Amino acid sequence: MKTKHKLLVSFISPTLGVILLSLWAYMAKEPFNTIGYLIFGLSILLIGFGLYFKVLRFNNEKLGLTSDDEFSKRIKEKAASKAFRFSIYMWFFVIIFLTNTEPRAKIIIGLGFLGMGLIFFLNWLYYSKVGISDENKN
Amino acid sequence: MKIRIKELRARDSLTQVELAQRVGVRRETIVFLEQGKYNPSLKLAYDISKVFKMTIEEVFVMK
Repeated sequence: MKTKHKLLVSFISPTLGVILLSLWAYMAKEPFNTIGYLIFGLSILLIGFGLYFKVLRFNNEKLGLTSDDEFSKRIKEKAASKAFRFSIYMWFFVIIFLTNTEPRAKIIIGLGFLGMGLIFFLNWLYYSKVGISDENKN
Repeated sequence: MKIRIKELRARDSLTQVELAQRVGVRRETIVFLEQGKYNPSLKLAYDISKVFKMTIEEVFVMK
């Protein structure tokens, strides 16, 4: 019962995200342009990542295992540090190439945040598949 | 480093889930440890060795 309750609570934020995105798409005055589709697609992808993350946690809890251990924490730390480094390059390119184009500042910043989320997700996925055995190599 | 977890699990008829439950980690952690894709902390290495009633050096053999 406790696991079921936890599962329901953990699905609140992705559901809210989907509702807000749907509202945004429904209330948009004009049809989406390329950037609109990009933001929508990235948001859906990140919500999907969040759901995948929660399903993994739920599966472990169902087996009576912990959902967060030293390996998962190490993967998150490593993915976050790599994502931070790649994000610096991403913001550099955004500043160089996008600031003189049409999108408004808040759209650029929004895209940047979604890009950061995507970079973290890709890094997390990479280390989750490959592992981090090279840590002690010189 | 040669990691003998898989061999010792088979000896003691333990599944990955059972070992994970005993040492308090996720099943994926045991999978990655067996594949040599993760170097455990000293505490986890100690806990795993304790489950097999062996020393750390006997479970995690340095080549």
